[in-house]
Amino acid sequence: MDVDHEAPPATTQDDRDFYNVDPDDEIVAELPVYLSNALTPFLYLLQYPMRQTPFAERQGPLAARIKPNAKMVQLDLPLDTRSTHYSTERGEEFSMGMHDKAVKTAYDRRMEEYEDERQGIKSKKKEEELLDKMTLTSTLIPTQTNYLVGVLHQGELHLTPLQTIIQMRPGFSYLDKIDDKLKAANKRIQEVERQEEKKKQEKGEPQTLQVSMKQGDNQGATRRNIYSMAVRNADDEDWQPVVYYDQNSPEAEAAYQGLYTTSRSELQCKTTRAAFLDEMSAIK
Amino acid sequence: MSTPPVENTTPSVQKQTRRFAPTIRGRGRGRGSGPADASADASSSTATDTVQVKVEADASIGHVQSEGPVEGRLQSVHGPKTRGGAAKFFTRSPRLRTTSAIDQAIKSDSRDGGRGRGRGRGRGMVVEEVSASGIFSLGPSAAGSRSRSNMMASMGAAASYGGDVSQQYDENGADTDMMVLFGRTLDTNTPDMVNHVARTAGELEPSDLTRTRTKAPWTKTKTDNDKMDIDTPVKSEGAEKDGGEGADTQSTTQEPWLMEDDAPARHLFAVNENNKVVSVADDELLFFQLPKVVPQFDLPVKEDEVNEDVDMVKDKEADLPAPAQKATLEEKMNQLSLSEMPNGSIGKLVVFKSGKIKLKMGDILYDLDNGMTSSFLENLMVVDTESEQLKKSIELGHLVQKFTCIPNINSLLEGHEYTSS
Repeated sequence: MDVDHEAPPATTQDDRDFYNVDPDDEIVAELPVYLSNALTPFLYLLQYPMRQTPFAERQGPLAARIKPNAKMVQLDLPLDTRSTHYSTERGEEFSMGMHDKAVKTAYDRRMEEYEDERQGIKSKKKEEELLDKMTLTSTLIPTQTNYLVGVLHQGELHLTPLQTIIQMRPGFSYLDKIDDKLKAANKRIQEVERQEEKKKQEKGEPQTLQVSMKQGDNQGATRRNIYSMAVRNADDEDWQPVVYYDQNSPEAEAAYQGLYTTSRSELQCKTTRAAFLDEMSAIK
Repeated sequence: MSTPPVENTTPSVQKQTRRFAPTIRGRGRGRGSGPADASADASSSTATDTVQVKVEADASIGHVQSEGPVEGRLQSVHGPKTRGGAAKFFTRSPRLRTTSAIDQAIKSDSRDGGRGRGRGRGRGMVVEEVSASGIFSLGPSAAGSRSRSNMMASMGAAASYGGDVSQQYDENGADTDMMVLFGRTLDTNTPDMVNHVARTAGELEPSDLTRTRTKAPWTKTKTDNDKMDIDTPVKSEGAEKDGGEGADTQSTTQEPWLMEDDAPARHLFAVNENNKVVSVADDELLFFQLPKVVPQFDLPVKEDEVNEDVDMVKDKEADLPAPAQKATLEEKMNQLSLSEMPNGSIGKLVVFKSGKIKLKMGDILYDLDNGMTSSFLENLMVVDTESEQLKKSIELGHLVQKFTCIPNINSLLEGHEYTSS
């Protein structure tokens, strides 16, 4: 796959002057550079600040969810629950954060046992679930300058502009879920206890009235700044589930070809050096 | 990407890593001076001190300075040489009173007449600016194989000078070097020593900002039989990087090419026996950073059409009313981003024997430099959410090398006439 680059014509002093190199330097290779925009709208650079090594065979993301307009990505990475490094205690603790089933309070269990007895079902031991996924959430990095991805191929350099850079970090949504579930469970417990209190109470006793203020959604003209609009739009957008193909899959091979340019016609450069300098120095 | 990775390991992100600063010990520090010097220092600094200050080490553990590196981070170090700034842990020891000999020494020390006792410094007593007593007397960077008595002597020195701490405390002197202080005595009390690398340590020599550059040879490669030269005699197909025996017979006739060790071409290209440059980074993902302003490219206009078009355009423009004319002018002035330009050839990459690489886009010349190697994984993905059937995200691979393209100002200014107004 290697191409011997044809030795370019001998370097003249003019060349050296043009390229601003030392007097004894020589040109040893010249490669044409091509611009390719086929994949530009689809290219994402995902940075994983917490990972040093590329994904191994089965450790890559299992599933992905994307909000294309908000440029948000969520990835699920598998956790090896049988590894010696996996703590099953914590795994069971956090498994509550994986699904949406409510936390069982003592009252709920009582109800269940009651139901089971009535129906003659013996309670069976359920297998404890383990946390087996790590979810990575994204932060968008605003691009500050022009970035291009390049590949050398058969003695040519193909460049594709890169517009989206995203950093992936572990998200602890399971902790939030567990928090919410515990709160809900507490509420239910309080409800049940209040009911029981009520039954015990006799009529005529003053009932304490609980007054809670609902947060009004329309508190007059709320400040709608750009930031909150962006956040609002991002929230409104739905997560689109996306299939993840790793770099060794045939889809990846096919997609990789998109990095190569489709046309080798020589483009005309319309910027002169003087114009370029002016543009850079922002004089006008 | 069916090309096997060039390196033996996976093309990891660790190419050209210089993640942590090399352990260049600080140049200002006195190194390796033995206890003799240290004690000489100590004893010379105590004016008339011949008294060993008896310090009950068990009563006073001394002051612990936090582990800030000595150079550069603590402003206390380079600034006015006070000890402040770092979090300190003090113990007050009951026996604060030094022996009377010390008192006399202080009194007799006429240097700072009036200081010393008045401020109650330097006797293991808690004052903000004094730090030393006991084992940790000379701070975390303190090194030197001092025996207890030497330390006490220096402590005595500290004590005797009372308030004049700043003068005798030599942060980088021989008596503060940890290795020297503790290297000799290896008992249970010897602190664990970690090689300290100053934050400012790095490639640049601090005193004159020069960088020692070394030259590295171009990686040698052998022509791969199966793919390219069928005529060349059979050579063992080694890894693309190794020179190996086969190349030797021919390489004796050529001198090895040398390039700067930080040249951008280093991990991109190699030289084979025919003295031809070969790319070793084929189908590796490379990352280029260009400035915001890029030269504009457009499809070439054909010759015959050009004249016609120009004339027609001119006529049209003349006909348009004034505001519309301005609009077209603005359109022309609009800078297109690279993603809006058509596909095609935009220039060439020129590789030099010294390892330098220049990128010529149209008439604009860019110098290529190595970019920052990231210590973490960066994956390039193609995300397709538009197709109805199956939304997919495809991983293309990870970025292996990064480059920065900087416009060559010399070439931009060449021939540029400046008229002073």
